[in-house]
Amino acid sequence: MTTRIDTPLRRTARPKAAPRLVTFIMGGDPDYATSLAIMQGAAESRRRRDRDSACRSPIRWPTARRFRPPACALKGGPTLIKTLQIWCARSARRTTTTPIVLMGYYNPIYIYGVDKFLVDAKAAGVDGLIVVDLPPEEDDELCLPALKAGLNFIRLATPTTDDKRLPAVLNNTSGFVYYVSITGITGAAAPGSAKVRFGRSRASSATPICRSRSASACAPPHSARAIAVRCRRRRGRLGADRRFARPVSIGTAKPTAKPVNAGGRLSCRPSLRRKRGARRQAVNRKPLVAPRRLDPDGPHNYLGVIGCAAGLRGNAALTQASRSDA
Amino acid sequence: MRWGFSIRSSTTAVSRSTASKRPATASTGLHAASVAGGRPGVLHGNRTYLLMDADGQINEAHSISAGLDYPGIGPEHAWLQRHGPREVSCRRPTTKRVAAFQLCSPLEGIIPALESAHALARCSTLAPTKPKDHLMVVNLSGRGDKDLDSVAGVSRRSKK
Repeated sequence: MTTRIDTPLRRTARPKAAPRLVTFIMGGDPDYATSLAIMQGAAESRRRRDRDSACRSPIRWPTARRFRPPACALKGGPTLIKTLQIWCARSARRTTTTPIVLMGYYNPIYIYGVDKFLVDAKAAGVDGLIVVDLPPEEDDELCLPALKAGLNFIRLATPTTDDKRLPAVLNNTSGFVYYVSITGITGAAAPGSAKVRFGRSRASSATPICRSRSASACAPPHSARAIAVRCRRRRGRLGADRRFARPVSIGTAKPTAKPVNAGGRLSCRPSLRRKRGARRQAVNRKPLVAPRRLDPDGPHNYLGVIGCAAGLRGNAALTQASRSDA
Repeated sequence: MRWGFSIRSSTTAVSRSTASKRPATASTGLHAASVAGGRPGVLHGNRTYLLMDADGQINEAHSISAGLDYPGIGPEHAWLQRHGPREVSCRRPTTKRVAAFQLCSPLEGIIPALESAHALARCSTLAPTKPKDHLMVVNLSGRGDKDLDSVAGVSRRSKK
């Protein structure tokens, strides 16, 4: 099955390919017209040649600055039906090469009706699904029907996904694997050293991996270019697995007066310190070297990961955590 | 955990009753009656009766007791609702549950948990409708030491 997700990610397998950027946009936040403009701006920014143009785009800022409990997005009245009929369909028409992935919880899809939802989602131009509360053991519910309908089913892996569990996670996963960088809320803290534990028992042969990052963990803040450079550097350190962290996903970051690690690098892993025999500080506060220009012919494609706010309201634990972070 | 069930020979199993921090009625919509006011859905890895809107977005539950302040219900109740003895899930004002709490404490010397007080409140309305020799068992599932502050707050507000 070849979809709009597979084509750009296949290019990242080239030796010097630029990383891909995946953005998270809440569908219907604050309203459908604005979020549609954000989506369109994100996709159009890839054609600009200006440095950091994506970050200076006025359309992008509202997404970068906004951080509120997910429940607020529902106050404007977005629903799954509206998201499909209005948002996805129009986005697909405007951005013919930018894949659209719906992310949310299973219950709205369950209420919608799985078969009907898959037909409508496919017709609306959706390319993939991330349903975070359906484990691999429940593939019969949605995953297998989605694959049959021609939609990618993307799963999450985390630092706690061990070699024993990973084959189950990768089984029936298509499109890409979304790797959550830290054990926590990715928007709230800078990730430490990624403990990627992709053992040799991988069930999937070549599934690309998209790693989540928070904008506050990058320097300068909100710089897509710096994120790409950092990703490239870390890829070099990690060595043989060229498939690691080619696409980069940036979640919404909580704006703070002093961004964490602004102007600094991530901490160096103890193993590297011992190996090189050099003294390093726990946190290197030197500013990054001016990032190199990205390959203009291979701009980062935006995979508009749409949070359709499915099932978020009323999830008391999640709402409480969001309130405590805000 | 069952809040109160009559023995098998009776006709009706008393399920949990619901309450809310404010008077819980169908008109206010502030309740935690996921069986009576909800429908089957999937939340937190569990397929059960849930409070939700037409789009499948989960609604917030409201209950004076923390253990029942959840938009879903346990699998035993969900199963009994579908297959077992007819479940009765009520939406009663908080005052009824607090009254049951305050009745049991001095009479029996047992401070019931507010969750268990739901069953006591339901029994107090159900028992008079049964024959005198009818046997009814209420499972006092927990202690109410943790709920003293909540009950005191409700009592203060009701006196004002």
